[in-house]
Amino acid sequence: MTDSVASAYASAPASAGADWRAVPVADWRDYLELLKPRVVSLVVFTGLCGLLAAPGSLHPTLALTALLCIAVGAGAAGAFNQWFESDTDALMRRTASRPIPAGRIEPAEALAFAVALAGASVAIMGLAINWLAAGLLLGSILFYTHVYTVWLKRRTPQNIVIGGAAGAFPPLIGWAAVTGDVSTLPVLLFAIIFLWTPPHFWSLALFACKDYERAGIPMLPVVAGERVTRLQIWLYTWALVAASVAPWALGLTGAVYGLTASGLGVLFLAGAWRVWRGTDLKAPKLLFGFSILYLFVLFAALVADRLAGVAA
Amino acid sequence: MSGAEHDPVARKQADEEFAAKRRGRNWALLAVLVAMVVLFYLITIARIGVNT
Repeated sequence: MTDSVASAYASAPASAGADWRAVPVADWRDYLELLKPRVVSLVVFTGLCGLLAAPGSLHPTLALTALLCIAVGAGAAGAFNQWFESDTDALMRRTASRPIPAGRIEPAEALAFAVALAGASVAIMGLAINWLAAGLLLGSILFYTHVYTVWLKRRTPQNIVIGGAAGAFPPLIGWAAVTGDVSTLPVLLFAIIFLWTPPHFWSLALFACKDYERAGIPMLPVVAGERVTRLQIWLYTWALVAASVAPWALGLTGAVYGLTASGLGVLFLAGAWRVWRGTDLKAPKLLFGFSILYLFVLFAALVADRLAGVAA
Repeated sequence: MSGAEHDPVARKQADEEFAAKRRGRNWALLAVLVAMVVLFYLITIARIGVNT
């Protein structure tokens, strides 16, 4: 992990010994970057949707606190991930300029930052909201940091399949924050994100395959080839579409959600079909972009459906 | 060796950049601490309201 960082320090002046300029000083943007703000925005959005879709209400201050805890917890997991992967990040074009491999933040400092934020987010969630939501938040952080980052990511091409569970927690946490329990609908929301993760990340892996190969990360296209990956994307998309319409089929949501999920599902299947055929080189990139939009619109439809139901 | 440490102008620029970064980080830390105080206050008020 420390090779790239060591090389950054090695480039410091040899006479630097006691020179305080030899110590890298990050500004606040580097710490923000450590939290993976784009990932956090998606996590907060799905957490908010779980919170809004849940029956009952939460004081606005407490709801904002719950979202803040979800955001900080997700950011802490992202910071831990960047700490642990700083060696492979240095080898990949997409990640080489991150604060740790670029030498702007010391690894130990990043780890302390991650642990402090994780502890604070779980403690505040437990004290201010409830301990079920705090337990789920802690579970999601530990799952992402230890099961996905430390255990699976470098060992198996199924890394993102199982690791996807970590990203599927936020709607469950948002729901638990309001109701204090977990029922069928939040579990289905969990399943949707869990099944969305493979086609989303394998689309990325198809067009960033060389990067992953160079870093020695056993993503599916690197280990099993593009053809197998394209087929897996196609199969997982079917499972995703089935899970996405299940809340409507089970009568847990209304027509607004059902029609949106069906329409989006058709579009996702069309994109996955193009990827599976393998004739269009841009198809994986298009599917990757669409998959992000898909999740935003699907969860927004869930909230709209709930609000329409309340208004009626 | 960049030679920057022997160039007074470059050295001054490096000093200023270092100080600016550290100043920015300190202000950000202050903002976080103040935000936490406000957050705990608001949580307390909300919890009191919910429980009464």
